[in-house]
Amino acid sequence: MSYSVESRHAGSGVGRVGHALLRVALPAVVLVIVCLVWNWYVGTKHSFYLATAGAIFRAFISELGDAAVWRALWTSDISLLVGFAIAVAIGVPLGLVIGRIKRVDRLLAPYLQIALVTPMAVLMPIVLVALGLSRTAQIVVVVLFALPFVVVPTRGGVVTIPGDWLDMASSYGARELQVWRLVLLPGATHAIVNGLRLGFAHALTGEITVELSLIAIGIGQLIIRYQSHYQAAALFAFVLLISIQSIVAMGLLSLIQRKVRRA
Amino acid sequence: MSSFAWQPGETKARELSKTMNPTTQAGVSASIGTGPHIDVNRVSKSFRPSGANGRGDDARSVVALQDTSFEVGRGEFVSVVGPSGCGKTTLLRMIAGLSSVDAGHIFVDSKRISGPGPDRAVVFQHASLLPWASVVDNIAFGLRLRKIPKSERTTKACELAALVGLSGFESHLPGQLSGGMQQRVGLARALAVDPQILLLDEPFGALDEITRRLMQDELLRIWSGTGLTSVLITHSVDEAILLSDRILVMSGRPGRVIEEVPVTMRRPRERGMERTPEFVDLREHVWELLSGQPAAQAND
Amino acid sequence: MTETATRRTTPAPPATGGRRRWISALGEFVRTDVLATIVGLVAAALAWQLIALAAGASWLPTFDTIARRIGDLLDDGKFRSELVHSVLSMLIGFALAVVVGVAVGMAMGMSTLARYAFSIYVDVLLFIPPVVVTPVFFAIFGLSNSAVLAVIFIFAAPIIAATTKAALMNIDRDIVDAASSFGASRWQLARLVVFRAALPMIFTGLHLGIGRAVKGMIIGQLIIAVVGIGAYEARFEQAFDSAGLWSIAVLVVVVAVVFSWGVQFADRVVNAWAYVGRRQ
Repeated sequence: MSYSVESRHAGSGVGRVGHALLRVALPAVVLVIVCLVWNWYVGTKHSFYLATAGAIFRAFISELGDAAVWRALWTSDISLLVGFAIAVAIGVPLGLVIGRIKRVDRLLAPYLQIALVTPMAVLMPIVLVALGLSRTAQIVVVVLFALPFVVVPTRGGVVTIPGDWLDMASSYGARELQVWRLVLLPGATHAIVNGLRLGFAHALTGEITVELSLIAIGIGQLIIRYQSHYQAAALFAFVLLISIQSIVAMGLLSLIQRKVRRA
Repeated sequence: MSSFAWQPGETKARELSKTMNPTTQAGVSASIGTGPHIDVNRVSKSFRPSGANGRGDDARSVVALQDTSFEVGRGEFVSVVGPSGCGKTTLLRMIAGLSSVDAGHIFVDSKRISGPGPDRAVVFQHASLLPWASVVDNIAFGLRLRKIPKSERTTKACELAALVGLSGFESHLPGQLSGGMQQRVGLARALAVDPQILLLDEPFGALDEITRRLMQDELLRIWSGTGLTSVLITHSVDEAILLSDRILVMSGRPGRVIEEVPVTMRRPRERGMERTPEFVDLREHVWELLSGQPAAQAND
Repeated sequence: MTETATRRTTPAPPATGGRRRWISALGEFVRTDVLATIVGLVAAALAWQLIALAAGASWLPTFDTIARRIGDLLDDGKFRSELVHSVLSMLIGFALAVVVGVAVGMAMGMSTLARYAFSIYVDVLLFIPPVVVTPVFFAIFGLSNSAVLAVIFIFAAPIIAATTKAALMNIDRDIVDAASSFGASRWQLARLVVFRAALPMIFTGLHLGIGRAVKGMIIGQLIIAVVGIGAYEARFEQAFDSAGLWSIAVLVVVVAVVFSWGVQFADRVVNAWAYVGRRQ
């Protein structure tokens, strides 16, 4: 229990309700200021590529009802989901094996490090050259982006299981499969779920990156259309929509992760 | 330098005491000067046990101290003992100026205190040294805050390092020291600022028994050289009796001083005194007082 | 009795002065992490050669082909200047991200009001893939280097801000207490204690940030594909030049690894005290 250095933080006097209000009010104030500065900037630039906050908001509302927009989103989402599923199907078992077998772990450790730090984006053109402007290429890109971030936390989950637990299991004569079922998998579950969340975030990045740069099937196509038609407000609004979809998806995953933590 | 690190230090203590505290040099338990050194007057303090942002339920407000009063004379060594959670640490922190007082006043030298001050120095239970600074830099920290020039504070810090028996470890990092050694640095740090009052918050509570006993001997030796007014918080009744002139026994929550037990054994104190009848009687008496008190509740 | 006591309390390592501490911390890092990575890369090159020879696919040239191609590219003055230009952009973007990220993170860590105001936006920026903002920067800055700088910034800054905030909120309160008990002013506390205590974790954020900055550079240049090596990539891709594409990939990996080491070097110099006698 630490009531440290009270005299310095003495008497904030604001109380619970006050704090709750501030939590909402302050970010709102920041948002308003940003919008005002944005509008001022747009006013000075007179560019076809920019739109005021108001125009963006209106475009956003209209896009919510536009079937073409949702189709574009869904087209991209298919690659995203399939790619992510493949990354998980490969990555989790791989991570478990790497974590379990020390020799393999030591062998592969530097590569995992490099994979985490390397921008997978740099491999995208190679995938394109190999597989053409296809959905398959997109899916491969998504897998590449997500894989390291599924493998490494999974491995971490296995590696950090206390040696005592494993000793205990073997002292009761557990066989390898039983060790997996009873000790390793339950113990590593949190880390695996964390890996799923991180992997998904990177899969998302991969999908959007490939759409925006090379293989525009879904959202990429819509963005190109907006750009070439100088529909600035629609463009910004669409970016907002994609962002919100990401936030919702990541939020859901975080929620699931917290539920698993509680279990 | 001999491996008996204390003996040279003993002379150091006497030398340093001359520069440190002219007022207390006159005697260990003399109470010259007007009025008590520390005057705790009907002090109360409550907490809302909650998270860092102070969101808590008022109904679960905890009264740590209720109407507590006592005085400490100049040059006196006073210990405070009591069950867990009786507010001893809170009391010390208030005297140090780290916590505010809800009701009542605390006077030092007849002046109301309002925050930490150069006249009071604290030794914490967990040494709380700066992990990136060497022993000497840690000892000199208080001096650095006062903008004392580097050469001067380094010299003084080295002297104090010798005083507490850490010669040769001046450049070590806290991470390279044992718990006992870290506490010595904490003590040296407190002494470095020439305080009038030394406040010790269970300084040996985190140490193993052997180190603890050694540190108690250390503290006795150093204190006898400086004669600072001191307040010690401790869980150990034996420690309190060995070190102090007076013991304040506190009740469980809400904390209040039940009784002030004077310790009139002669100074300088020695280990052998623990077997004297006087010591044993004191120990029994204090335990009796303590066992009448319930310990704090589970939601501590 | 006393002799045993003093011996008991004497730990093994001899006193090391402040100067020599960071040297030994660096040395240990080089000996372990750096060497391991280099060995790994060499082994990878060998494995590549074997696999490429076996597979014989047009999109997977042999390693020596790629090595030769890299040599050719580096000989080319124009390519060299584009490479240097890209690397510099990345450093500038990263530096901006560090300055803003640390500043915002410190504000959030030390002031409740700042935390209330900014946290939600930093969290949102962490949630969304930063690449999604690229069309926005393209619209604002046009087809220019500034756009790429902005992308790099938005990739790196949020994680630096978030980690810095966490660093400040996780410092050992006891140390702050002890320091303020000696009468440290608020400013002295921040400067002498709080900031230094938070530095190790801030550097963790910088390490994460540099990885993201490199990604931002590549992605930004690929999408806003006119400047730097991103432009070269686009051209190679058009020409189905696999060797060229792989060459760039290898160079980027090297750049990423070198910068990652750079941050870790700096960490061990600044925070040598945290690595004393311990394997991180």
